[in-house]
Amino acid sequence: MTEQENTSPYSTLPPRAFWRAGVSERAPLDPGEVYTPRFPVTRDMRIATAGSCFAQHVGRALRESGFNVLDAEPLPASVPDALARRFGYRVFTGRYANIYTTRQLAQLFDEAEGRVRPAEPVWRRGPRFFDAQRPGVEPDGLESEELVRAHRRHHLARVAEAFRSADLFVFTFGLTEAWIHTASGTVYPTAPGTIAGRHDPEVYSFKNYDAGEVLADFEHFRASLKAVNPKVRFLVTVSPVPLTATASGEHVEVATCYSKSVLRAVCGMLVARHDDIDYFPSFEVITSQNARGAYFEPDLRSVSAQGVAAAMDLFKRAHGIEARPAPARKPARRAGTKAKRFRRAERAICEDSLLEAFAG
Amino acid sequence: MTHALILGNSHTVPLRHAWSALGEEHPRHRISFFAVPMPFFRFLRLNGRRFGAPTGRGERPRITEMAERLNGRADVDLSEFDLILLVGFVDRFKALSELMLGCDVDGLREVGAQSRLSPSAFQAICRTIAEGVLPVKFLARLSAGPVAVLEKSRPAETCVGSEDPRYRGWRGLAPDPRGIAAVLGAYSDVLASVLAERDISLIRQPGETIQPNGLTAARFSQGSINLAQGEPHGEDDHSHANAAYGEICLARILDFLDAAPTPALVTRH
Repeated sequence: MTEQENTSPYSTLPPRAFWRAGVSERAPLDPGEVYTPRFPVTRDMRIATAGSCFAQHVGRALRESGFNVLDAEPLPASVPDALARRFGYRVFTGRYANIYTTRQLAQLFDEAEGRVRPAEPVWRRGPRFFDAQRPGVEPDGLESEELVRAHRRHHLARVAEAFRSADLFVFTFGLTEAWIHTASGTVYPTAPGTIAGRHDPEVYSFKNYDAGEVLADFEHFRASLKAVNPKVRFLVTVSPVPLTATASGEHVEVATCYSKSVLRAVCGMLVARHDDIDYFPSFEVITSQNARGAYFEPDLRSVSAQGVAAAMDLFKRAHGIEARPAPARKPARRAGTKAKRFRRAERAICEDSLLEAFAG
Repeated sequence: MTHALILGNSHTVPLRHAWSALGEEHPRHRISFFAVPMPFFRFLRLNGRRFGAPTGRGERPRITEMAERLNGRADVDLSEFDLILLVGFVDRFKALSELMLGCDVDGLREVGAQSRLSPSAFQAICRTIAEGVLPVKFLARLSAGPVAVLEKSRPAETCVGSEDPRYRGWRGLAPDPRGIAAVLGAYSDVLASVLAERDISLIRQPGETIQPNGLTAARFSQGSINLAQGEPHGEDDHSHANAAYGEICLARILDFLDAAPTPALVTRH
């Protein structure tokens, strides 16, 4: 038996392949060598962003680092960020608010391209009307159903235009759980009755997508977008933010593990299947045992500013980009202390956190 | 007799001219002026109830000399007046023009802009803009007496031909002025509401001075006079108004004084 025959295939692997060297002995809060970009992301790329509430952090960090993040529905720079964000502006590339599931992403683009019409598109709360696909962007609703439809038509036109022009589509997978219109399969970002609408078990039902469904939905979205925008590439991430609540019947921690496992597995499958999809491991950075929980707020759910910074610094370093301030925006007068303003600006808008209100 | 103080900057000039010409026809009212042009106005200080050039360690001889030359005094005792009328303070017409350039507003201006604002979003933005206009600390210290604000005149319609970057928004709006007047009118409603919350009345820009495109008619801008030198403004000035405008505004101010007592105007004891 030769010496070569005795060599284990692990013997030539780099230190990052081993838990002890890659995690146990790594300096605390050092994210390590967890990311090697598949293709470069540059500041001249037109970047579209969408996803769950963690995706808001990703989008903001990219903008603040000088990346060309598309804003299909912009407001003038003189409008303060907090005010703009309250109405859904400057959160993502389009004013679609959080997109938690791949089914919702696929449905949005299909709707923008005129291929589907969501069922029950307008929800009510008292005398006001809400877009069921983004009920949070108008906190007080609108005065008529027709106005909601007019706003949606405008929004979809802007979304289609932006998606068709993007060089890179950044999507953060958020949840597998959703509420759907049972007869049609139309998915909604929030449960009816949370922000607006009324939960009718005869009309709406709970859905927990499995890996096959999540994969198929993203594949459908990718194919649809590539059909009209062949150059587009994708950067996918998984939100490290646990579920606020689960309707699955499981303990929320068990449900969270299922949801994140499915999403992470699908991301891995997508990367394996397509050269134009890269995975950025923000989930791994934030939830790493090496971080010792430092990247979560005291509620053990929200990602801290330190965690966002750690993930995004890793991303920028990997792409050879140093932090650069965003183009100067005229500072708008805002109330509150500097620290309060910072916290307010950093806070992600999570509709699902409204479910806290239903906790005992 | 009501004794009002018009306190402000270069935008007080049309009112001063109008009052000089017409004041004798209105013996029921007395109007005094205290004005210093921008940016020097910002150096004036409120000391107790006296407002004017800073004194003591903060004294600035140039400001004192200017205030005395333009007003015959370096400061004014605000307690002498039944009403303080603020004229010419910061406007946000540039911000409003850029807002309209980028955004449609439901029911007010719908021309296919890139973004669309609901009435709630528009109202919230207007409120932020209006609150940014107010000299909050100054108003808080003036709160012992009735205060009113004369709405600053909108840019003259001639601004759309200007290369000045401040008028970029208005140039962009010029090809399709639909709804501009409605948007600006709605902003004025919000400004009036924001002021009313502070017990301050808003005297709006008279409608007859406004063109259908929402801007001030050129005939109310031509021949405007500079406060500091008393000379006509150049053709590149699109923000100051002339004596004809002052006469119309003065009539509104006198109507306001005639309507006393109003929430903002009470008898001084």
